[in-house]
Amino acid sequence: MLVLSRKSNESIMIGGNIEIIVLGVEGDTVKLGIRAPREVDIHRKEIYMAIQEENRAAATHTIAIDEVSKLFKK
Amino acid sequence: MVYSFLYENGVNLRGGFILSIESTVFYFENGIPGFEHLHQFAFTEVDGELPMKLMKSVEDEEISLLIVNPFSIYPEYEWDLPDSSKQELFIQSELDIEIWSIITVNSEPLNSTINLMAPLVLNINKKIGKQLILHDNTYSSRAPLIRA
Repeated sequence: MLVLSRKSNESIMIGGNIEIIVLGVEGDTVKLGIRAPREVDIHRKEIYMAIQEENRAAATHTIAIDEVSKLFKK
Repeated sequence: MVYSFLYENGVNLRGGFILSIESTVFYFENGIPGFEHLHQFAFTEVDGELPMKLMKSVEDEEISLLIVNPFSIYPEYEWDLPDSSKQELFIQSELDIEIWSIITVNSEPLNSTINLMAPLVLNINKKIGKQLILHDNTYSSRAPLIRA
């Protein structure tokens, strides 16, 4: 992993069109600003991983549509 | 690649066999989280009366997801579609859009959940889609499918 030290208001470029700016540091919290093209989705990693896990869980179940259908028909 | 076709042999599901189901294939450029490598999903009606569909990978037969119209369960469900997503999906009017939520079926069906945090956004005219992850924390990825 590439490791770089940055101060507040300094930034790094990833390729030619993604910029990550350190906006401020308070205690153990770093506030980042991100400039990226619209087509680049940006997520907090733990949220993205939670959605990955949820999708995998949803896909691995043998889908018993009849059982779920019953719930709606009650 | 964008096309639609008719399943001739139906889809084999536990507890039932459905013949001749019409299905439409949507293209997901970035896949969906957890299945980033899968790009084509066939959306198939499961039962005309229910607000549900089956979303089945064209590239990997093992992967299928049950989806539901979230507004049928949570009529107050509301969020703003970011301009970036509208552009990405070539959405020009509300008539282009369909919103679905993925169901996680629990072994105890009553405990099944729906993912309101990451809705599927479809452009039904261009046959493309993406799973959007909402940035605010208003909605859970494991909201009850059956409301108390």
